[in-house]
Amino acid sequence: MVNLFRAEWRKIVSNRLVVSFTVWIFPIGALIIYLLLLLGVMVSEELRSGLQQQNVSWTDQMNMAWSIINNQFGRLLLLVLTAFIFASEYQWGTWKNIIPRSSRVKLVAAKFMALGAFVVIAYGSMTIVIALGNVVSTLAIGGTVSPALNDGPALSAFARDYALNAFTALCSGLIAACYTALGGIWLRSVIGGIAVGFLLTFAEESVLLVVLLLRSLIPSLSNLIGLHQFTPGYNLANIGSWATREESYLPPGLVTLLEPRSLEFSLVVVAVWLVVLLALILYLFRKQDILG
Amino acid sequence: MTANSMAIELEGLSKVFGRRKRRVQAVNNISLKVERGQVFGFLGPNGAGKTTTIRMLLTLIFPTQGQVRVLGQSPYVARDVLKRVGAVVETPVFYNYLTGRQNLEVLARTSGTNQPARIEALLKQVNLGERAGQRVATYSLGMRQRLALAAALIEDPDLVIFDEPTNGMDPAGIQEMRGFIRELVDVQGKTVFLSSHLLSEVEQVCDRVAIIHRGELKREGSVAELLDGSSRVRIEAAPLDRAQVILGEGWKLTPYEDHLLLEAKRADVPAIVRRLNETGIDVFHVAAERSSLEDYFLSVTQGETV
Ligand SMILES: Nc1ncnc2c1ncn2[C@@H]1O[C@H](COP(=O)(O)OP(=O)(O)OP(=O)(O)O)[C@@H](O)[C@H]1O
Ligand SMILES: [Mg+2]
Repeated sequence: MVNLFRAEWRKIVSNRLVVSFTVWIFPIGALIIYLLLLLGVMVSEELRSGLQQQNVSWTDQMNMAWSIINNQFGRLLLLVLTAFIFASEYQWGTWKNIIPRSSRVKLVAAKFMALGAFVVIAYGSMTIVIALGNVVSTLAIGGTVSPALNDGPALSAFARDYALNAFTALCSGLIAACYTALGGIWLRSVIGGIAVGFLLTFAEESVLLVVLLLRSLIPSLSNLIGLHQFTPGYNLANIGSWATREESYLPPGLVTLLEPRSLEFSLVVVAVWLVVLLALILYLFRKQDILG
Repeated sequence: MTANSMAIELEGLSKVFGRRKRRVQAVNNISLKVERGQVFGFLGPNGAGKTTTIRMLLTLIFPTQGQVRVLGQSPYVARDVLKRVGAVVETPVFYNYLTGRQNLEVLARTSGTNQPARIEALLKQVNLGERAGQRVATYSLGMRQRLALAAALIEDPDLVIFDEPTNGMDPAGIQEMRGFIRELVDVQGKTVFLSSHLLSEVEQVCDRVAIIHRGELKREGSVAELLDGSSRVRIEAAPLDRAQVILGEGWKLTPYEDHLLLEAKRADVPAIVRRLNETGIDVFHVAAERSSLEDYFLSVTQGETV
């Protein structure tokens, strides 16, 4: 499996174009932004005082950076990378070379592992660059670094939050990646994978809208609104909420309509989604005729 | 147990693509046994079902019906048996942005091995030593064929499957390839299963041949058998009408204006000549017509390529 993983790694990392725009762009982008910022504070008094007032802690910035995986930009790049990993072998016609060499299940597993490694590297290195940038620019404008680098309790609380943020971000990324892999394998195309990835993410997000709409049209269907609580999106938000505020998450405006859900509930729902999606991918791929 | 099993066994193998109007029976109830230690030719015109059959041997596509066994085991059940099989399916394709060497490394690792020394040796053997550090995007078709050959041999397989191996090669390359295939079998003791639509290729390199057409197995046997099996002997003699009567006692024949065509084997020629001599008939020309395989292949496939 180590060799198989390294084969996948090599295929991805050697494709400079794809890996530059979907992986290295994160740390390098953060680096460029901070260099520009440093340049800015050196020449502009205004920027310097603005930055002094804002004073965002490096720990908060590191935590927030993980949420990029859920915004449009981060999502698009994740889908492109996933679709590239899972569907380009169809377009190049290279499945025929590798399927006789390893089991299909292992091939898919290696692809997921490589994808995970690249996402962790992209976001992990970006948050490190962000932390360094924050500390350096704080020092550059004569501010105090907070939390201080020797503040033990603050740092251990941060480590826990950071791990949690990374975990929920990776889970939601993994679910989006599963949609994309499913689409890419089903349609045997990179673009198809990206399209299905977007469509399913969008469909998931619209569940709430749809049930709200249905409820306003047919009041007797008001129970339907609970459906929203079975989507990965709701449950990942709920897990995050439990972890940071120790209370269940309810979307604003729906507090009275929805039942609060426990952390365990959400962990189970997310796990079920992942298992079902992975099972679907394997079901589809294991019996697929490799033609081209 | 697997040591003396067949290299390949097909039992009632069928593959149907598509449904209803788009239904194509690519392979139709093929049963075939390929013994070890030989070059086996899988001969058929375009669209005969050669590649489809090969894809089923490699678990790339799933049979609609029937059984496949490779080196004694079903690759669909005991996947690991494919670790002892090397293959080139259709036109060779690689990761174009990787070098030839990197492609081989990636494929070896996909098989779960890492063997840089063997890869170097193979690259030399297929004359790609100098270009191995360049991206495959810059390779010609013939070079890709050579790289594919190296790729098929990385794991030192017992069975090597080639789908039209000389496609895109120049005459020197074809000649070399033939020698190489024979060496794999005669020296290294492997089994080679190769598909081709060229009779001459099969004739020159194969020990046994199966002819398939429109998904069906038409004939199977050793090259010698098929060449010799029901061949014809052409005879020019005088007086021809007497020769016809005398030879008609022992052989099936067809008279033409100035010669007779006998359904006889090359081995029958001495007996035929003796018989004619005994009866005082003058013999001017006797020829065992070569290659009934060619006739057969042509008659089977004439004007029917897809
Ligand atoms: N994916 C597919 N969908 C539908 N029909 C297919 C598909 N692949 C192959 N076929 C059909 O199956 C038949 C056999 O094709 P196959 O590629 O096995 O032939 P072949 O003997 O390898 O021919 P060639 O010498 O041209 O390579 C053909 O009629 C072909 O059109
Ligand atoms: Mg073919």
